[in-house]
Amino acid sequence: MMMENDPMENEFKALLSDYAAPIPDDGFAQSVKTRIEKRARLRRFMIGGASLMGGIIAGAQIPKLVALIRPDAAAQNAEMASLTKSFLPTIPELSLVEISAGLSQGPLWMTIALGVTALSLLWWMSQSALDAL
Amino acid sequence: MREHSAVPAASVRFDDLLRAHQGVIRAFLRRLCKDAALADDLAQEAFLIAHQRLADLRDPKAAKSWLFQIAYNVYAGHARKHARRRELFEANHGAELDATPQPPPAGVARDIATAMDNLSPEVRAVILMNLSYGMSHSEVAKASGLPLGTVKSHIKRGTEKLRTFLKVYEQA
Repeated sequence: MMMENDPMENEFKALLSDYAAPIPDDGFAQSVKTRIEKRARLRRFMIGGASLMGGIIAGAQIPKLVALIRPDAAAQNAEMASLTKSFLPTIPELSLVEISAGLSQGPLWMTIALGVTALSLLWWMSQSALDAL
Repeated sequence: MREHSAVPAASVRFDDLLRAHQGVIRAFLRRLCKDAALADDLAQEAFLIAHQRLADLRDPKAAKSWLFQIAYNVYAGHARKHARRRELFEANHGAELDATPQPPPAGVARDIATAMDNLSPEVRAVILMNLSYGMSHSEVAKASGLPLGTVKSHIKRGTEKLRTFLKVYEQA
């Protein structure tokens, strides 16, 4: 080790002991723990929200997938689609029903791409919110 | 994504780490950024990262240097962002940002603080970790991300500067 047996080493350490003295807690540890708890709560909420959104997007595709596998079940699928639509909230101008109806008319890859984009956006928003906490 | 708050053992260990090391980490960051409020923000960020990465800490004996490594990385990241903002500000306004005024001399403790503050943040960090917080050269190298040779050279040059300062002080 450098400066072994150096008489100045102890002097340096003594002088720096004041300069680098540990700071009393004064509620710091508690504030860190509070932030950790807040983050954990928000994270759970975001995961729940993302799961719900993913579930809705995936659920909206089920009738179409079933129709691909069993063309004779088209009538049943139409019923399921209307049932799904009845559960979705109606928002003026651009509702989820309208979006899902538009998506079901378009190609499957577009729906998947939109779903991935929406989930990525949600993930990015949750990370930004966590950073802000 | 890792979540440790649900594991009681990890929580207890983190609480112990927090209580045992918050004082030195905050002091270290205060001496690096010379701003108590900012240092506490950075320390909070460092402990949040430590909480997220608690599973990475294999050896509890290495907790101190592991925390210093996180704290130094948080500080370095902040310093980089601040330097970029400073450059942009100076490019747009053609003026320098505030220069911290030097306090009047008030005894050897204040003077050693001034001498330390005049060292570059990197050298200051290395000297603090080694001389004040008792970390070995290899621990300092790991925590600061600097090569071992650079750490040794920083410590040598830094202590020489302090030694020169003390000699001048004693002569005065």
